[in-house]
Order: sequence, then C-alpha cells, then structure tokens
Amino acid sequence: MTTQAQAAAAPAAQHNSGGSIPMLRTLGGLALLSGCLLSLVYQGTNERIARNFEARVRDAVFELLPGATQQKVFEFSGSDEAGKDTPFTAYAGYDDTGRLVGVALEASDGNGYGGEIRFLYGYQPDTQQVVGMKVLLCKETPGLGDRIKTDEAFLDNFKALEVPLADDASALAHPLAYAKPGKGGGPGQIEGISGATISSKAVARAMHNSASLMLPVIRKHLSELQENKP
Amino acid sequence: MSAESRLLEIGTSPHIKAPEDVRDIMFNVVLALLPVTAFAVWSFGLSALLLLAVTTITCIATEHVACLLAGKPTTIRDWSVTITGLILGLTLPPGTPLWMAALGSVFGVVITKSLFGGLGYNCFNPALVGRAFLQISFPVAITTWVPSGLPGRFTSLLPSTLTAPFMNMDTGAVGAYIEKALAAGGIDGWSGATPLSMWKFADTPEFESTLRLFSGMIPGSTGETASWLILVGGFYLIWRNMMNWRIPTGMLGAAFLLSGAFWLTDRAAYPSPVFMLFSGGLLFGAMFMASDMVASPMTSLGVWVYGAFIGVVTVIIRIKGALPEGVMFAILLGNALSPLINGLTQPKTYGVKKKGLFRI
Amino acid sequence: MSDQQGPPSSMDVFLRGLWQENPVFVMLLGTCPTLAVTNKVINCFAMGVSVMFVLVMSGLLISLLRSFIPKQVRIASFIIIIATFVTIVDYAIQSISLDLYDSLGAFIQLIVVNCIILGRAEAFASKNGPAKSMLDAVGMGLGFTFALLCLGVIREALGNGTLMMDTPFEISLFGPNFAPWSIMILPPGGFFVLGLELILFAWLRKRREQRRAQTAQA
Repeated sequence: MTTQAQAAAAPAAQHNSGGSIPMLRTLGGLALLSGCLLSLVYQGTNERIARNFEARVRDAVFELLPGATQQKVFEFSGSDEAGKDTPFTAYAGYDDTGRLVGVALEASDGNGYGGEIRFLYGYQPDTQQVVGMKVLLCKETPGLGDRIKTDEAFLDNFKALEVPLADDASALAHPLAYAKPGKGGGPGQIEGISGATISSKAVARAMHNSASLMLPVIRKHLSELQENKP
Repeated sequence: MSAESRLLEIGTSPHIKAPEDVRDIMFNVVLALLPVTAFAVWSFGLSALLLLAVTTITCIATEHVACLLAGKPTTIRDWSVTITGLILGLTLPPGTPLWMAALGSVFGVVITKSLFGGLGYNCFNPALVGRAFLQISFPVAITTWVPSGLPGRFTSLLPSTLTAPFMNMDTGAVGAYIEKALAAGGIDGWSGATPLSMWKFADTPEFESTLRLFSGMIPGSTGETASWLILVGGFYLIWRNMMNWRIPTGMLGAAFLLSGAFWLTDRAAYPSPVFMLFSGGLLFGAMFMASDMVASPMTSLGVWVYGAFIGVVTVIIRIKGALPEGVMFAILLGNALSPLINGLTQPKTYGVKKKGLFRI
Repeated sequence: MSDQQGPPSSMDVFLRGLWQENPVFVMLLGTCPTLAVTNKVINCFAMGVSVMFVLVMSGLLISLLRSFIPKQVRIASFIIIIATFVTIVDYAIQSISLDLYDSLGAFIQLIVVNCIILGRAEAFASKNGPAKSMLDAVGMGLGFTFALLCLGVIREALGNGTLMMDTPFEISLFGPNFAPWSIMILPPGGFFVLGLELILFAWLRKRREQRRAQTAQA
C-alpha cells in the first residue's frame, strides 16, 4: 500500500504550487455539482414523499373510522390546561351518504421511552366513544415499547373507550388515566402493557391531554362538521 | 531434594502468610449460605430446590468447559463458582423457568468471569450480571412471585418451573396453581407482590410488618426473604474474618440514614428505614454480593465509600426509580466504580508529597 | 493473499472487503450504526444497501476526480461528495417507506461520518482507477452488509423470535409462545453479540493462520 500511496501522492503534489485558486475551484465546482444533483433528486422524490406522509394520515383516518369513505380536514383551536390557545387539526370522516361517521384527532406526548409518541384516535360524537387508535410516530424500543402499536390487549383499550363530556360540555366527565396491566376496567382507565410501562403511560397521558383539549371544541362545532360535508 | 538443587530460595515479601487460601474462604461462604439455602427450600419447596440445583450445576459446568476451552486447569474446585451458582439461584423468584435460570448462569459465568480471565479478574459479580441479564430480558418472569409456605410445595412443582426452553412462562397457570394450593390449605386471598412492590405500586402504600419481614414468611426471591438467617450467615463470615465488615455496615448504614431522612419528611408515603433494611434484597446483597472480594475496592477508606454509595443508590432507585428494587443495579454500579474508588482513596505514602487528586 | 507482492488482482480487491479486511470484524470501523440499527434484519439490509450505494457512487466520483482535487482540500471535497449521496439515499428511503425511514432514525444521515466511507475514499478511491475503486467499494459494502446481518439475524431471532419482522417475508422461528430476550433488542445486546462475534472471527482467523503456517512448514 505504501508504494501505491506515494505514487498517487505525486500528481496531487503538483497542485500545491497553484495557490488557493485550484482549491476554491474544486470545492466550488463540487458544491455546484452536488447542488444540481440534489435538486434533481428532490424534484423527483418530493411529490412521492409528501404523498407518503399524506397517505399515512389518510389511511389511518379511514382505518379508525369504520364506514367512512370520504374525509375532510378542519382546523380548530381550543384552550389547553394552562389556558393557552392551541390550534389542532380534526379529520372528519363521512360515509357514502355524507353522514358524519366520526372525527380522527391527533395526540402526542414527548415523554415516551424513546422520545415523542404521536398517534391518531377515532372519536364518535354520537356515542361519545373513542373507537380506535393508530400510532403514527413511535421511536420506542422495538419489541418492548413499540408494542403499543401492535399489542392487541392494549389496542382493545381504545376500541370503545367511554369519553363522555361533563354536563356543561366544557370538560371531560372523568379523566383518562393509565392503569396497571390487569388492574384497569374503571371508567377512563387505559390498561398498560407489562414491560412497556413508560410507553403505555405516555400514550395514556397523550390521550387524556388531547381529549380534554379537543373534545369540548368538537362538541361545540358539531353542526359545522355535520353540514360541511365534502 | 538432591544436593545440587538446594539453592538459596529468594522471594519478595510477604513471608508470613495467613493460613487460609481462596478455597478456605470460599468454602466458608458456602457454609454461610447454607442456612439461607435450607430455608429457601423449606419455604418454597421443590421448585426452589430444582432452581438452586440448576443454577449451581450449570455454573460449575460452564466454568469447567470454559477452563478446558482456554487450555487452563479447571478451577471448579475452589468453590467460587459454586457460590456464584448458589447466589444466582437465591436471587431469582422461586418459579423462574429452569431454562432461564440456566441461561442466566451461562451468561454470568462466561461474560463476566471466563472472558476476563477467571477468578480474580472479574470486574463485576458474575451472579449479579446473570441476574441483570435475566431481569432485562424477561421482566415478567423475573417478577412473578409466589407466597412462601404454600401447601403442597414439597409434592408438586410450580407450573412455570418446567417451562419448555425458549418458551414464555404461563403466569396465569401460576396464579391458578397458587389459588388452588391455598384453597386446599384453607387459605383464601393472597397478594402476588413482594413487600416492596406492595409499597411502591399499590394505590395506597402498604407496609408489611417488620416481624414478617424478619422471619421471611413473605413472597420474594428464594433466598432474600429470611432476614434473620442472612444475618446469621453474614455474622459468621465477619466472625471468621472472611468478609470485610465495613462494606455491609457502610451499605446498610447509608441506606438506613437516607431512607430515614425520606421517612421523616413524609411517613405515609415513604417506608420506615427498618422496612427498607429488611425488605427485598438489601440485606442479602450487603452480606453476600457487595462484599465480593474481587469486585470491591481494597483500601480501608474505599470500602466505606463503596458501601455507602451502594446503599444510597439502592434507596434512590427504590424511592425515585421505576423499579421497586434497586440493590442489583446499585451493586453493579458500585462494582464498576471500584477501580476509581481504589485510585481516589490510596493511603498517603510516608515522606511523599501528594501530587494530584487522581493517581490511578 | 496479503503476502503477495505487487498490486493486488481485481478479485483480491473485491474479496478483501468481504473477509480479510472486513470493515466491522477486522478493521472495527462503522461500529456505531452496527450497534444501533442491527436489532431488525430489515434494518440491516436497508443500512447495508445504503452504505454500499454511497460507497460505490462516492468511490466512483472520487476516483474520477482524483487528479483534480488538491491535496489540501481533499477531505472537504470527499465529505461534499459523500454528503450528496447520503442525502440522495435519505430522500430515496423516505419515498420508499416511511416506516423504514423511522426505524433507521438518524443513522442514515450519519452515514456521512461513517469511517468506512471516508476511509475507503482516502485509502483507495483517491489512489486507484474508477473500475477498481468501484470493485473495492462493492466488496467493502458487501462486507459491511454481511457483518450487519451477522448481528441482525442473531439479535432479531433471540430478541423477537422472528426473522425479517415488519416485512411481508416475516418468519416466526419459535412459535407464538416464545419468550423474547428483550436485552438482545436493546443496546447491550448489540455490544454482547458484536463482542462474541469478534471473538469468533478472531479465532477463525488465528486458526487459519496456524494451519497455513503448518502447511508452510510441511
């Protein structure tokens, strides 16, 4: 290798005498080349990547709201626990006849085991139930925390989770909270997965925060959602 | 000796050696473990007996094979690996599937001991590494407890003991077995939790009575329940001068003081320091694991620091951590810090000026 | 092979990266992604292919431009070239599958600072012709992928009881009642498996050298 290295170093050494112009020329040229190449690739993939992100949400909405065949996006805002105005997006799903099936809402919590956990849940305003949950973003440990995506017993928590609003429709009637595996069953309790306590707790927390922020707003705008069919 | 070979033998000091060798000391540790082991078999029955047999035999066999592979004379006769096996068995719940126990044994001995060069070179306690491996790999199996003194424990095995290799234990079957056994003995109602997890995870903290903690009639790891027998074994070793008494003293003292401080701030939420000392594996860890000769510091100030560090970390994990029990991780952390503690606590050499803080 | 005199043949250049100078098991390069992404077999494939693509393309370009790049700015130039191809891979994976992109996390972007790629650029591509550089890159890329798979197969099999999880080709190895060794999927498992495999490969190499010494004596 040494002889090769010496031989190869010879042509490179010739450039040393030329001052900084060849260096600038080389780096500039490479940067230009790189920029052109990247903008080409970006043009080629941009649309597809955006479509992937959209499809991820759209498919999740249809999956969460059984019977829905059309959807429409609404932007609302509500005040969170601290009283701060927080905007959020509601994905309303409608069936063939244009009847509102339900709304898919987003929830997230930054304190999972591996950082942020973000998921969508389906909400049916007429039954006041959460009817399903689908994880969108999860950096939890594969095989442990990421069972929140697949564990059937855990997902069953969200098949028919009662989330009634209090009488004045400004808050939840009861909080949604984490319960130890096998110890849940009470109103608003979300049974965790053993071995994935931190991830399950993060989901329960996200669920509570999101529901208490968004559900009263959805109730307020229900007629708007029902009438503005796509 | 023939006349020609009678040369002057020269050796460096020390010239007067203690009569005990490694084998003697290790054998005495085994003796000190015997009462605890016997109680474990009495209170948890056949399953505990099989579990201890499997860990001990697997550890010995692993060490033997590892020595053969390394081309060294086998070291299984110095009793040290027997202790590893016994301690690993004693720190596992009685219903641990045997295949998991065997896996933990192989892992602990190979990774911690054999790969580093055998006895005297292991920077961690092999039994604890084996247990940590099992705890992280199989968190459910390793925290499934059974009540002690279960009727019929000498005639039948817990259903989880003979779980097929690589298969998950059936926690439901264990629960059903326990309920049936208790019903047959005319007892109903039991809690599948150790005193520590009852305090930590119950909606309102419950504290087991000190008498029950002390006598060992509680669910827990096979060998960690009977505080009084652990103390008997520990005092025997201290009396024979085969264990550095400063390590358990420092560890238990620090744990007592720190948990006492917490307890004084809120007596309803935090357990009393006495509860802290006699619950879980603190006592067992102090007497038989933290005092491991190889993985603990050597200087007389260092052992105090080491013991106190482990005690403090244990209490912090128990009170603030996600797990109910922290002795195992605390001791492993202490092991990892041993060389540093050694370096920081070197005695002052007469006539030499101290040069810097770190003289490792 | 290594004791032969003169420039190595094309076959040697190719085989070197696969085994004799395997980037992970022999040169211990690129251990960060090796430890981080090998908990699933599909991640190993994706990472291996991405690294191989970047290796081949940057090797080709660097070798073509090797006489135009002044010595003083060669590292900066290599990094520009490597970063370009890494960004292309990043876009490509996002457009193929977002799930795969999520599970590889930051490690795709981190290929930029992967020692294997800069190392091959500096040690080989900047001193050899394009054909040989590409051959070397393919060999190294395959060697890296092979090493990742060596870890990934063991970690996924023991940590999850499957092979090729999260793909249509998922195979369950031990049946539904398998008790996963969670530690294998966590970072410590990566260290344990890598350590044990390093022992295994060092032992194989030593045994082969001994055998060669014996035949040389006989």
